[in-house]
Amino acid sequence: MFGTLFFYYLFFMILASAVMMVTRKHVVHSVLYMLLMFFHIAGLYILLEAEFLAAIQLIVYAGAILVLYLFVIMLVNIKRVQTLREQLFGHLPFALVSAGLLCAGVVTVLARETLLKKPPEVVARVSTLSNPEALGQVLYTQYLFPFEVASLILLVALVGAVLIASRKI
Amino acid sequence: MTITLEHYILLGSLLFFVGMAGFLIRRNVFLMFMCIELMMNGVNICFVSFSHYYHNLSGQVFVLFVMTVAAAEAAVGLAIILTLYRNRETLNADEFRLMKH
Repeated sequence: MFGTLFFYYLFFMILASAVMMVTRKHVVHSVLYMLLMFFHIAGLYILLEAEFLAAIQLIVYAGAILVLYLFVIMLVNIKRVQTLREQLFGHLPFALVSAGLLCAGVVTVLARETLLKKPPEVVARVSTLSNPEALGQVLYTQYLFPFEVASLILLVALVGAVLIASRKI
Repeated sequence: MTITLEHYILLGSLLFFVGMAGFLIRRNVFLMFMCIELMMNGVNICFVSFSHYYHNLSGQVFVLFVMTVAAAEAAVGLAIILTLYRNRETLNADEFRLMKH
């Protein structure tokens, strides 16, 4: 019962803060609504028994990526951005039609079909381990090569970001 | 009434569509980037809920990779935005049309 209430609270808050984020005129307000949304998504991960991902969501998204956004917003001249004539609703019909069509399709499928016909047997879950331990075992054995590729992606992004931002083009 | 997998998928897909509509509506480059993050979070919710309901940890590992790519994308994208702003003095995506014609 408590889990159900908590889920509906998270459902409402995530969608509301996402809509608020998209519709704010000032970018800093959007970033703050995005922070609210990230916190609630972390709550959703806790509800889904993915505690490690909840922590990572807060540390990486709320702690690193959002701070990066805020820094760059501070670096650009915010006054000029504010006086910018922003066409908020210039592409509204096209966007709403395309997003609405896709949304209607997914909702129809979800309403008609049950995704989980029969739950598969518990195979990969190691019930005696906590979530970070089990995740680490899967990550460092089965997904070791993608993990190394991910580190390479981060290295390339690091070098690329420094190169692009520092060079006078 | 228990929460089923469909509830989570519905939430993830609605989040994805909000992000998609925002990406198409807004012309501020910052907002467009944040809408991409929104879409990635919608997909992440779907991954984690599948991982929970199918008792398989691969979904959570995928979420880790998605977060890695999101961090890399944010770093490179914000560097590009900074360079664009230095050269063009604007953040409106409609005014970046060097390659249009």
